Amino acid sequence: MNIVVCIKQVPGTTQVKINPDTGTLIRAGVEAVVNPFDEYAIEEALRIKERLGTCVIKVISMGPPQAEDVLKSAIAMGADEAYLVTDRAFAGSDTWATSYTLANAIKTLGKVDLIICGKQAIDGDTAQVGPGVAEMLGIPFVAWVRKVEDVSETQIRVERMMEDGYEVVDMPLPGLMTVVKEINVPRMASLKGKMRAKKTAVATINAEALKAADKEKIGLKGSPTQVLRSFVPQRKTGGEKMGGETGDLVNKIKSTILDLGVIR
Amino acid sequence: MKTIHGKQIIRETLPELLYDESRFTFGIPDAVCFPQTTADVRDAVLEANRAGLSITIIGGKTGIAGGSVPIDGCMALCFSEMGKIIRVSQEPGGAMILHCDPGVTLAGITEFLKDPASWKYPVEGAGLLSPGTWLYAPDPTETAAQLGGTIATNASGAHSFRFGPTRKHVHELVTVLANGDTICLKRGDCREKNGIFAFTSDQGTPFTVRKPLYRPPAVKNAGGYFAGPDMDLLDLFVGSEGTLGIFVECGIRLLPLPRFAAGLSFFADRKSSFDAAAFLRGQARVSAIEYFDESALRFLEQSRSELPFDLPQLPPDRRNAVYWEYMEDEGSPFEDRMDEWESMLTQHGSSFESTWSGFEPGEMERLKALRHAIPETVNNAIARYKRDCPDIRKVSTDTALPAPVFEQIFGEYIARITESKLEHAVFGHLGDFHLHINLVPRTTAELAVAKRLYEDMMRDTIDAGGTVSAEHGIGKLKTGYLRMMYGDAAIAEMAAVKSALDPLWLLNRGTLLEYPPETAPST
Repeated sequence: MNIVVCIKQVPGTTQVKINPDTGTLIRAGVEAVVNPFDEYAIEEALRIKERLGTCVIKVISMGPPQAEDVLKSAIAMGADEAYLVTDRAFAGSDTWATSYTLANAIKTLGKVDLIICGKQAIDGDTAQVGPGVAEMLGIPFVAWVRKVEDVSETQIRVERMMEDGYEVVDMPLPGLMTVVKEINVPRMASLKGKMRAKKTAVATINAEALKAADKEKIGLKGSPTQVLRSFVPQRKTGGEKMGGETGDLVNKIKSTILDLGVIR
Repeated sequence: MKTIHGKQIIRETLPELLYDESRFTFGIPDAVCFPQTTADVRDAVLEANRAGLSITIIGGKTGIAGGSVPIDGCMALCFSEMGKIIRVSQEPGGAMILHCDPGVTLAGITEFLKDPASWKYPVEGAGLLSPGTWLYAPDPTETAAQLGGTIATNASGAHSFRFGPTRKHVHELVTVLANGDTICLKRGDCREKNGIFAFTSDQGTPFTVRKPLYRPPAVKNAGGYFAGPDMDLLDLFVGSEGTLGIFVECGIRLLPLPRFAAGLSFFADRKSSFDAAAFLRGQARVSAIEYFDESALRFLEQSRSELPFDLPQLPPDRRNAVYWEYMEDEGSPFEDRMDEWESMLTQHGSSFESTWSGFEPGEMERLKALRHAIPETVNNAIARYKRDCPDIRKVSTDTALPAPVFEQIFGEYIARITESKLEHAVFGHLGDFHLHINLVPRTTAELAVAKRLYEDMMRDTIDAGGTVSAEHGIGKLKTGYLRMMYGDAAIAEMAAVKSALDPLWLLNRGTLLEYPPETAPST
């Protein structure tokens, strides 16, 4: 069985700073890490491999050359092969163009049975790329998977998290799933893995290699959406603190809500 | 200066000041002051002298020996509002010194060093420090600890194995003495002459202190006043647990930050863990050797849901773990030693496969979080058991043993504990032969058993030439054991030091030395 895990390099902090002139993230000085949700995806791939015995796990990431580091991290955890999809032509890709590019890159990897993605990246928070890749490849997908109940070469049975419970879904393979953090606890990389990562070469896939891709559909040109501005929302200040006995407090809150016209 | 007067209002509004992490309480202060400047501290001390109040110094309250816990009839000085980083200076010899208020936390220092020039407020001389290239070596696990408290207790951490505890990293202490005078204690300025330290305060009061002649146990030790050959007056104040002076400005020495590579290696049993530690001790670039036995790992696993991080599955067949850190530099990357390391681990039944990597900053953070979580989970268990049996408490050792007898005596401890069937967790600083045994009783009967075991372990430790307190200090909880360890004559010498600097025994009364002392203080 061939499993592909899509991962992304993200800033390892929630204290991101934004360049006020360009509206883009200032990445200098911020440690880059594997998107946390993608670590669950890698771990689940490793568990499936442990369950089935024979599996090849290929990790793939689209990003700048530095994204090689997160691919090495995935190898250290136990993945077998690493592919970096990188080219200046891919710069400025939105979720649509990213899905398109990744899907085309995955096509170059030979037979793929299962693709696993984290539910979303913590920097963009769109949760669109995973399902987007499946659509572009024309394969089924299940998002928000919290448990793999059963898996074979041809089918997977998973629990998909819903707002009011969960669904058990059978999906024929090849297919794609995105996973939530409830699915597992990612392992720590071992020193053995670190050594393997050091020795493993990361293969590069550039625009030229994506023979099947329409050049008009990649990068900024291929992106139907554009980021006009990024900003950190202002923290709301002010407000009024109320205290007192429960009965008085209830009346106070009620009259405040009425005064504000929130309810009538 | 914000000051709260009156026992009742203090009990109602500041209950958190009445205990430390030991959860013991001893009394309620008559007043609590929150100084912001040296002048505030002096005013408070002079006021305490006038009012006849003793003075309890409260730092981050992270101690576990009751040192900062107030007693009845005292004035408490709380340093939560004196927590600024003051300046950076460079000594003529090149040493980089960071000058801080005593209330700055260790976490604050670590954060500052990441990017000194962009700190929340301008710090004089911050430009001398390139971002992320300097280290304050002492690393007590509890990073909420205040710097003043860690100097007062000569605190240590995992790095103490290589860098020593806090004492040698202290360069300068501006100190308010018990009479309200100030003195700047700078390393090298006042050394003993013929067994005497003689100095004059900034206000012109002369002091003469006889250097103690007793010999502390030849192990890592935080019990009692420091005494050693060719010592500096500063060394006496470091580790004096607030009984000789109140630090109002602390100058600490920074070191160039090495790159650390770390690992958590899992072993089948205690013996192989200890054998691996013996190899690690002999390596010049190893900076930390910590140990978690089966019981500690079990606590972690059982407390999975309480942990502030996701605990990966621990190896089912290797239930002992050794955390190690290696300092790299350009000339000696860890990579050069990997083969040797791997064969050592394999020889002792571990492997690179059974070693979690702490090579990346994020990985190391996770390993540190795991280490920190063990005592927390033990404390949480005690809190749970307390609901059914309010009298119980954790009984934990802080002993260090001489190397030649360590394994034998430690093995005897464990045999007795296993026989007692008490729940327990064993972890700590294996590099320094300093492991904490936490006994976790569930009932008053079990507490009695735990206390008996503790007494026996202290006696055996002392007989073997070890210390009853390697890092937590004596506080108010272990003064009796300090006497047991040193004997009456040495305690009398310590009392003489105390009396020479604080004739009324005002400062941190009841901490480190029993109060009233057996011989009445001179007045």
